Amino acid sequence: MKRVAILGTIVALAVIAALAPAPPDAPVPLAGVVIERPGIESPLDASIWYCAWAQANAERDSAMAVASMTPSEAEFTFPVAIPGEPADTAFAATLGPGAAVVTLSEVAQRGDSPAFVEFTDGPAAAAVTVTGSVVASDQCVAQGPEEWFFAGGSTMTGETLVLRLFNPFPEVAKVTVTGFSEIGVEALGTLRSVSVNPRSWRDIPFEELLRQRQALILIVRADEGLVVPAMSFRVGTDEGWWGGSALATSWEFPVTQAEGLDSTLVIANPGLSTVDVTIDLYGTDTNFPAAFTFAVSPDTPIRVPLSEVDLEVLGARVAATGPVAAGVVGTGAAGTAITYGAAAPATTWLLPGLRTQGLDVGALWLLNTSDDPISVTVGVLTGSDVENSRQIVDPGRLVVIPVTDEDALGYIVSATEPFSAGWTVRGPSGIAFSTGVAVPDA
Amino acid sequence: MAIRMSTQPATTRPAAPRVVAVITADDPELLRPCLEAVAKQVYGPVRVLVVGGADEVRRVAGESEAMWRPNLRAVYDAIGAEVDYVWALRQRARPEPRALAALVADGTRVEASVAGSKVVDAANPELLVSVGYATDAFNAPFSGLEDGELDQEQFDVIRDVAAVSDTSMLIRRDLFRGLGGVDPAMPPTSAAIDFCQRARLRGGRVVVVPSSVVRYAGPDPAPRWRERAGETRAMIKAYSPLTLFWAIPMAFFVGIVESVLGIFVGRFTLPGVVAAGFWNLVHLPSALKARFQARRGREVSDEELFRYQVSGSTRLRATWDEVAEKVRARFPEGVLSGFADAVEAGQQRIRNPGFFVGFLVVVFALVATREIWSERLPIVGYSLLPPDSPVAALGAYGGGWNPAGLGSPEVLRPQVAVTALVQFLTLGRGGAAVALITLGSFILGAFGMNRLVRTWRVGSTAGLFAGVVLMAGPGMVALTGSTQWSAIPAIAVLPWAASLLLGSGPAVVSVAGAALLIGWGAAFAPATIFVPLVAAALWVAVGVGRRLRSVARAAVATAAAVGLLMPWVLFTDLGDLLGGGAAAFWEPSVWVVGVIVVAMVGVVLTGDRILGSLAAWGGLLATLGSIIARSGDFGGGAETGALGLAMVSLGTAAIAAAALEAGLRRRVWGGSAAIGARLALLGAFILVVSTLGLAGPGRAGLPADQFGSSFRFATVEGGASNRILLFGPVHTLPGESRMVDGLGYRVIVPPYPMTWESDLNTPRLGDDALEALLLDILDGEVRRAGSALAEFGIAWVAFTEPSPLELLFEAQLDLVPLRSFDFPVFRNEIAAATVGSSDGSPWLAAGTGFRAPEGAFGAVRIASNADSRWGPGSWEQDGWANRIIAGGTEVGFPAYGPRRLAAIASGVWGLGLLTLWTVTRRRKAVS
Repeated sequence: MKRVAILGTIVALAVIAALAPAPPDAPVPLAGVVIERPGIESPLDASIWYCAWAQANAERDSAMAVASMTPSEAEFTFPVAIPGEPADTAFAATLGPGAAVVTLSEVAQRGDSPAFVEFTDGPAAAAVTVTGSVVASDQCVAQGPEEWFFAGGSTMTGETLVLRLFNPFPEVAKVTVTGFSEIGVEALGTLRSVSVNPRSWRDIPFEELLRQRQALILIVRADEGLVVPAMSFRVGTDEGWWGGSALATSWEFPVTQAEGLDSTLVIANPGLSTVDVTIDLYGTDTNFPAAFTFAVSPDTPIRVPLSEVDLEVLGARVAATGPVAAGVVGTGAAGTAITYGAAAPATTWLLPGLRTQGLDVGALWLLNTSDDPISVTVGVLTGSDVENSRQIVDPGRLVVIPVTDEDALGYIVSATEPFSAGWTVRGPSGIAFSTGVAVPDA
Repeated sequence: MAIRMSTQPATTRPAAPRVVAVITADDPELLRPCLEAVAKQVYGPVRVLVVGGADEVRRVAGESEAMWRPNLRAVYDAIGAEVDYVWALRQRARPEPRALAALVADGTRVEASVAGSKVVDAANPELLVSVGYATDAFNAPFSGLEDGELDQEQFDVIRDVAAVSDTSMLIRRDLFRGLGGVDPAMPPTSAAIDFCQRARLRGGRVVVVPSSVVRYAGPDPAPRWRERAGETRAMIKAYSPLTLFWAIPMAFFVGIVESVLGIFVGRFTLPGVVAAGFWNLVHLPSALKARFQARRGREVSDEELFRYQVSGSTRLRATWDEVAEKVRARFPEGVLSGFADAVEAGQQRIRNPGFFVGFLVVVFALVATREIWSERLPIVGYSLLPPDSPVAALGAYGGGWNPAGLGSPEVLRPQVAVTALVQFLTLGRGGAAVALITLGSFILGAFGMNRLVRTWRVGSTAGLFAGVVLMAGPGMVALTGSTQWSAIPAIAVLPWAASLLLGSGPAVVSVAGAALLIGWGAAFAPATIFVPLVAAALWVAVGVGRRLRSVARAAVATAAAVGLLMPWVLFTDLGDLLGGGAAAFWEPSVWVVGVIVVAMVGVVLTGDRILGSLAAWGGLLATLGSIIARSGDFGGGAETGALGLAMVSLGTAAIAAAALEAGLRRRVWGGSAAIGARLALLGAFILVVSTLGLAGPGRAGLPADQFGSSFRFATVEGGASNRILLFGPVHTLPGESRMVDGLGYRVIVPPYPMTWESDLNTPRLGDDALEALLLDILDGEVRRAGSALAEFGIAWVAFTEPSPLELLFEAQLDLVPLRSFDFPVFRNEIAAATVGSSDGSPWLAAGTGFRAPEGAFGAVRIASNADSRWGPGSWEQDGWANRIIAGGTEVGFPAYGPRRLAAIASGVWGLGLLTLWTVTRRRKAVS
């Protein structure tokens, strides 16, 4: 009897053990956390800007300009494309808001010197202006898409088109370059999985690879690692540099056509279906809504020459029914200029490096594509303070303000309503277009 | 048709027994004198049969008017029912005229089933060849004769023996036919042993009749390996499965050892050992068939077969004697006499029935832990090596710096101190200390179980196999499988402690000894401190005899053991201890549970009172342990799981002991008890066999090494200290870890974490800062993670397995992905050191402190959680870290005085208990 009782107890305990509920499962690592392969991006308050085309040699020098809305320190790093060789560095401090310029030749003079700039606070922006035998300028990039699109280049006779792949990261990057032009999709098998060494760069010229293309659209995608691509376009003695962009359904070009240039808007549709595009043009006294409307077939670029519009300065807005890449290229007696637009207007823009230096004269371009006038506060950023002025930009108008303040190292422009801003630099050896850096709303 | 035969001795017949002589022959020249000798017998056989050989043999047989038969089957047909005995002879036998008469007279007088002659050398009849054999457990013959021993009638007494020489055997006719005669596949000696063994299995009596003298012509031509193969075949045919389970592997092992020893006497027997193994594999079907016949209708168990067996291995002993002789010959007279005495004393000691099982247990322990003692403890999970310096470990335990993670002044687990003490015995080698603890625990645990169940008169065989179940059974498998190495020494002491508490020894001896043992176990797995008390309480509930006092003793011993865990026990939160770590949830296989249930129920329902109580006690322990080990949903953590599984281990082992013992007693019990015992035996047998699964990989059940060599690349030449930030699912990380969004992480010091890094401290400033940094990285807010991590002394970032988080580290400007490793690793480009001076020099690790490299100067930053005791020099808090200004060439963390005193008091208390135990034991022995 006792044994049966004991056995019963054991069975009861065993049943309790068997019925004991399992504890909740351990949390699944990173459950619900979406981690995507980060592209070129950085936080707003401590941004890193990648400048792929700075140069300093006997004929050229680069002004590495920074501007910030808060007091910040900027550290410039110029990697040396020799393994094991330490990078050159430079530092600059800005007020809030403020701007500063570092002259590349004072840091390193070895020709090409791609760099990256790290800010301790922000929002901030960086741009490079190359002067000397050429005039080239554009903003650096702090973030970028997985696929970079370059619209505006061509390889006709006398033109030179070079793609630079800058890898500022410590790992080898593998990049695939594809493209299409007016003759269709280009065969670029040799540019599949192109290696770019860490802290180094690689230039790929296209004038031999794809000859006689009038509108060549290049697409850069990093298969492994990350790269910052940039494109150089040379016609005659001047050249222009511009960074790649993502696709968007609307683009604003505050700088489209300048005196002494014949500009062309290039719209490319890398998508799978035809896209309808409308281009509005804006002058200082007039505008041309829906100046051009056309359809862009898949994998096709369209060149829109603006020389037939009888205005010396123009801004433009491109609206498309699907995502397109867009760029503007101007060539002529004034030199060669090229840039991509802004995907959207903004209320605040930073324009680091907009200044007049010697014979190179800068100009601020403000474009209001809205139906209401906008009162824009124009702040001149010097090394020590900010000089503000007010400028009314009428609806559907472009305003071009020459930079006369010799202390200017950059500009900050802001308004209560969104608009777009860009700048030009014109000198004896050429001209450059650049779109400003939109500051996200807080 | 089966031949039925009587196992009862033949009744006395009124007429003289009629005998047929059967001579096995293949050589006419040897046969002829044999036939002549048979013809001269004063007690003549009614018929002479010659079996085997070719035409020449047949002709010679014909000349002597002997019948010839080609094989044994034909011999059976030729032996009629009128015959009483078969006199089996070999052709080399030269029986003296009275040989058969003596065999018949004395054999029938003692009612022997098989009677053998005294065999002397034909060339020198004074030289003894055989006076019957004993065997060892592996059926190797042991003649008991010295080499060249003369016949001085010293063996002239009729004796029961394991076997007689096949030179001349008188066999009862029915037995001869029933057993199928001598196995023709076997060489002579082993065939005789096999035949006699089968006869004894049927209850027959085998005796040697010295008055029957047979001369033997010439040496035995059978190859040695064939005899060895025959011996194994004889085992296969006669032994029970349980005996075969250990005897066959042991026989092979003995062969290996003999091969090694044989080298010293110019003999290498390994090929023979292997050949014998193959021979038996090839002949296994016929052996199994013969086994079926031999064991069908058996009247006795293996114990009867063991009756005339000598302990140890006769082959090993012979080889050892040869080696010893050779050694003696190399040394002057008297030099080795002490050694020889010691050897003799050792031989006497090992003549114990449990010797072989004990030996098997030791071999099992060696095999089950071979990777640990031959290489190193696998570094995985909580299976970690102790620090290199036992002095530093003791210092850290006694109020010093706890280096786990980013460090803290929290008290280390007592395991660190106890391992360090053992490390002194191994001359500071941590790996050797761990190996010693592991192997020693396996052996001591198994023998401890034997000791415990001996309290209830359970035999050594059952006790030792139960010990194997304790150390390698389902409970231990679950614990070591989850990398709880420390459970091994903790569980090993449980049966010893229980034995002291449940036994009848004096109270002081029991309590002092048990306290020491409980304290030792609790140092490794603190929650197991409760097991002896629970075990004693359960024994009170279901046990037999005087037992109430054992609870009181257990309570006092447990309380006394707590004192051994100072200072750790003073600063530990019991709730955190029992609820921390992975949630306890043991999920044993249904088969394992079924086997345990069968073994337990078989004994509880049908066994005798004592074994039934033992099994019930084991059952209660195991089920209660199971509940505790599955209490994860109620907050039970890793330590709670260890407590439950320790109880499961002890309980399962107790069930196995009871079941095995019941199985061995089944013949005595008979009836339904025997059925229950058989079931229990079957269950226990499977349980014992299942332990081989743990032994296979040779890591004591621990998983394969994961971190032993993974991070060797991260060690800095010269000893500069840095850290690795390691990410991965929690169960893949070494020791305890923290979590960020469900992903485990922790910092370790390369090349692998030590035991003192196992358990992380409560998060402090540095830990919070690191977590904040990781969250920033996760949010994509950081592009120079290397620079930020360098502040924590983190020179490397690694993942135990691929993770999407890698993408964020790949996008950093100062972390270099290293693609040549099997797992994701990033090198920090920014120089990172745990401790460095302001001139950038990384300091070198020295225990838990650091020392300056040559030429270093300036303030020293210690990337550990801020604590003002760091020094010497002026201490400043540097964010979450420490800065020492105007210090010397060394920085360290001076011990907290009270904690150090507590640690010393713990040691003194341990010594006190040891002294008390030793002294009282001695007094008891004297009285």
